[in-house]
Amino acid sequence: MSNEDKPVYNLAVGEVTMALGCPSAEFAEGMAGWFDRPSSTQTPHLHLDLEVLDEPYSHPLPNSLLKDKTIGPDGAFDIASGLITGRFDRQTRRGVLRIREILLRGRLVRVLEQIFYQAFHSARALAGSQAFLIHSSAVIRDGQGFLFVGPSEAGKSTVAQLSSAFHVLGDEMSLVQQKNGQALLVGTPFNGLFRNKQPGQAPLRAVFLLNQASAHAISKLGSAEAATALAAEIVPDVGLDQTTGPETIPQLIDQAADLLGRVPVHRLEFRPDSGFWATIAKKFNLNLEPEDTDSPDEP
Amino acid sequence: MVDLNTIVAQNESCPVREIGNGLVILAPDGDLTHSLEGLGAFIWQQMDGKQPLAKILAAILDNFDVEEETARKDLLDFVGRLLDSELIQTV
Repeated sequence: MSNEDKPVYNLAVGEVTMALGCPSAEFAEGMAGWFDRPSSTQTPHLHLDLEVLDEPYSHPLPNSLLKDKTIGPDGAFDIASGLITGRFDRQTRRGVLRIREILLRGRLVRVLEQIFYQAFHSARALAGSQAFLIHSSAVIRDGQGFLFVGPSEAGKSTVAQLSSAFHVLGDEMSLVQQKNGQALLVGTPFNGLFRNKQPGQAPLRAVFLLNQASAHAISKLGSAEAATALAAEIVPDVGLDQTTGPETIPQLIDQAADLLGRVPVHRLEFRPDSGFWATIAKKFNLNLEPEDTDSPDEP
Repeated sequence: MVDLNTIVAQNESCPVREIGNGLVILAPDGDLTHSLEGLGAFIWQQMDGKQPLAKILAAILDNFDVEEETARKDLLDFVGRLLDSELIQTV
């Protein structure tokens, strides 16, 4: 099958679209099912041919596909000793990804998703889009976007689950896009544990750094502390043909500082019940319509 | 050994970002960040490689409502941690 004949799944993340040439129609359907989104009709900003290598992989699986990535003099990249190899040419906007079959098994697809973060950054640069990905859960309420940020186990999926009465954009990865000087919160197709996410976008009203506690409370954060915590959860702007470098963390701090200048960032202490929304509603003057207050589980 | 006669200077190879009233300082290896607010940010700004810690202590007592003994102990602890992180160096 030539590259032109391959079934294509167009993966859209915000205003950026990546065409993924798939090994089979079933594979393309599987991608649509995994991401729970049909192939986008937007014009793609880049094209990647996916190849699956059915070869044994004997190395430990990495937590991050950024840390063990090398790029050869010919531009070919190797992630985690051959777990994913490939190349990307930004001039032609085309590339190839060779993926070990192990990454298609069960929840390991979530590791595979990380290569599409890098593909997103390549496409974002080509599209001229001002946006970044951040580990977070995201909810739209009263037409306003609320972002809940934290590392693994911080409670992102719990927040999403407890927000099912509202418009949950996701529990793993959100997009913050600059649009006309405003921060826009955009859902992404990337998956956490919550499987009822819905696409959508809304002006970003507030950001919360999650901290599980015995009671619900919103507290102020020092700006430097907030920037450091946010920067730790922003996905480095590293494309397929790039690796991290000395400029990576300063860039993350600058992105976090920019966000801090646009929207309020607070610490949200919460326990695993939906009463935290009453605390947020009070702070941000949200409408408390009957369907929004079905779990008034305040301490 | 750090004491009030010690003079320290910021490590100029550490990128610093002023964010609001705080500072984010990146470690020389670029892998770690340190955030300083309030008193910590104030002390950092006094570390000019010229004045001994005794003068910085005096500046703290002039600008913050804190007991001298508490301030002295906290200052020396803080300087020790910054030295360990290579964010500052003795002159």
